[in-house]
Amino acid sequence: MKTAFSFDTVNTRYQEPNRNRVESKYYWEELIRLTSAGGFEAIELPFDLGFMGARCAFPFSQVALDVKYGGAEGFKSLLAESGITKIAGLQGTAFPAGDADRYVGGFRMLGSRMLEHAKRLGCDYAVISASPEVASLGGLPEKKEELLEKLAGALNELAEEAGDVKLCVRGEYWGILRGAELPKFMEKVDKRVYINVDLAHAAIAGEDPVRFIKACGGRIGSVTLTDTSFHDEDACWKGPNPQFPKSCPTQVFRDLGEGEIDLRAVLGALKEQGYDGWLTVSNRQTKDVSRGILRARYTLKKEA
Amino acid sequence: MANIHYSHMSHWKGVPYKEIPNFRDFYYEDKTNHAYYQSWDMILKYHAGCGYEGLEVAPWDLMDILKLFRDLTEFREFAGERGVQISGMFHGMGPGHIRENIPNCVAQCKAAAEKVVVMGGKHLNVCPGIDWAQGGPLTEEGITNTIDCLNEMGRVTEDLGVKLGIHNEFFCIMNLPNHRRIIESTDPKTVHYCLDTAQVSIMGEDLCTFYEDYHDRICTFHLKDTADPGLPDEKRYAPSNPEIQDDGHRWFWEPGLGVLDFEGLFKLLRKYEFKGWATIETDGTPDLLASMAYAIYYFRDKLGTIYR
Repeated sequence: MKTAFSFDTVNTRYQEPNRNRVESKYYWEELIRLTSAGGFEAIELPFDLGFMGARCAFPFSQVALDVKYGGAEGFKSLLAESGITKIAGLQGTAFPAGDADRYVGGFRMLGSRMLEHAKRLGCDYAVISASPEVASLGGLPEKKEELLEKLAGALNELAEEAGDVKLCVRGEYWGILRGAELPKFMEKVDKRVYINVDLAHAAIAGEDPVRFIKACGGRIGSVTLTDTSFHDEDACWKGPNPQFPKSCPTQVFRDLGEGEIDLRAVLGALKEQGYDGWLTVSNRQTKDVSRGILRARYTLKKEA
Repeated sequence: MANIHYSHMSHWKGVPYKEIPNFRDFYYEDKTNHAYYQSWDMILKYHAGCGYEGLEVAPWDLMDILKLFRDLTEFREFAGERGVQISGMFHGMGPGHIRENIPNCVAQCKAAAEKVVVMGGKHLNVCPGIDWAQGGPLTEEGITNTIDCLNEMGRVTEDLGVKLGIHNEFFCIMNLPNHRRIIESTDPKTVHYCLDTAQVSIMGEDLCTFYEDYHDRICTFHLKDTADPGLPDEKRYAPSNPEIQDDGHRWFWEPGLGVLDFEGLFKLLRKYEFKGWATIETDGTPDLLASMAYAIYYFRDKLGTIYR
C-alpha cells in the first residue's frame, strides 16, 4: 500500500486567524518535516497557477517553486533531506466561469500546465476537478450536455499530453459530475484518462464508497482518503459555498478517521479491484494540521 | 465626542459563515477555538466589544462576502446592527505608471469607490502601483503617468463622496526617491493620503516629520508599529516581493512592540486637531483577536491621554 499525504491540509482561504505564517517558507519547510514525522514518505501538492505568485512560499506553482526553492530539483532535495522521497501527484481546479467555452478553455489550460508541472516533479498522477461549484457556473448546469461534451473533448486532448502521468478526474459533490455521474461520463473519454476516487465526495453525493469503487472498476487512477460525517439533507451542493453548509454549519471534511467512512471496507474493495496505486490522505478542512497528520497515521495503522 | 474613530483592517482570511446557529454543536465537533473565527456575526461583535466603531474591508474578501450576503447593502446593515460601520476599503491601483493602463485603472478605482459608497464608507486607501519587484524603478515617464492616474482616480472618487488616500508600501514601485514628489504633484483637493505608519517608516521616512510635512493631505491612517524603520534599498528592492519573509520575520507589530514614536505622532494629531477614521492594522499577527484588543488599548486608552 502506497500512502501519501496531501498538502491541501493547509487551507489557504479559510483557516484560523493567521495568514502571514502560512505564506512564509519556514512554515512549509516545517510542514515537510512534520509530514515525515507522521510516517509519510510521499506527498501530494495542490496546483494553483495564480496564488500570490512569487510573493509567498506556497509550493503550488512553477513560479513559487522557481523563486523560493530554486526549481523542482531544489524542492525535491529539500523534501529528501526530511525523508520525503516522492511527490506522488498534484491536484487542481479550474477557475469558475459562467460560459462553457471560457470554462473549458480554462480547464484545458490548467490541465496542460498541471501535466507539465507533474512531469517536472516526477509525479505519478495529476487530479483535475471536473467542475467547480455548480452555483458558480451560472447558467451552465442547464446546458449540461453541451458542457460535458466539451469537457470530454478537452480531456481527450489532455490524454495526448499526459505521458507517464496518470491524468485523473475528480467529481466533487457540488459539481456536475457528482457521484455516479462520473463513471458514466468517463465512458465517453479516452481510456488514458482515469478516475480519482475521493471517498467523502462520493459519500456526500449519496454513493456508498465501496459501491462507487466497484462502479469505477479498472478506471481508478488515484484514491483520495477523505472522511466525512456530513449528510447533505438540505441539498447544499446546489448553492454557494457548499463546503460550508449554511443551515447547519459543520466541518464537512473531517480528518481521516474522524468521520463515518468505513476505511477497512474501502481498502478491501480497492484490493478486489486490483488497485495498487497511491492512497493519498486529504485532511482538507482540518482545524489542526499537525494533529490531523497524526490522526491519519493512527487511522492507517488501525485500519489498513 | 472623540476626534479619532477607530476602525480595524480585516485580515481574517475568508469568513465562511454569516452566522452559526448551531454554535454549541459546531464547537463540540472538535472542541477547538475554530468555531469562534468562522462567522461575521462573531467577528463583528469582537470589533464592537473591543470598542472599534469601524471595519475596513479588504477587497479580496468581497467575493466571499457576496456568497454570504445578498449584496453589500445587506453586509453594511448586518455590521451596523452589531455596532460596526464600514469605514472604507483598501484598493490596488495596478500598473497606472504605464499610460495605456490609466483608463482601466481609473475604471477599476471607480468601481471600488462605488462599492465603498454602498457599504457606507468614506475612504478608499489605494496602493499607488505595482510592486517594485515587478517593474521598478519608476522612470520619469512612469512618474508622470502615476501622477496623472492618481489625479484622475481622485476626481472620480471625490465625485462619489469618497476620499482617495495614497497608501504607499515599502515594496511599492512608488518609493523613497519619488514618494514626496508624487504626493506634491497630485491635486491636494482630490488626492489625499492614508498614512500607514509602519510602511512609510520602513520605506525610510521619519514618521513624525512626515506627518508634520503632510498633515493637511493625510485624511486617515493605517496604524501599526515596526522594528525595521529605514530598511536598506537592497531589501526593499529585492527581486521578489519582500513582504512575506522566508524565515517568518515580521515587518509589522502591534503599537509599542516596535520602535515607532507614537507619542510624538499623537502630539501632532493634537496639534493639528485630526478628526476622522484611523484604521488599526494588525497584519502579521498570529492572533488577530489578541492583537486587535491590545492595539486599541494602546491607542485609545494609553495615547488617548494625549489626544482622542
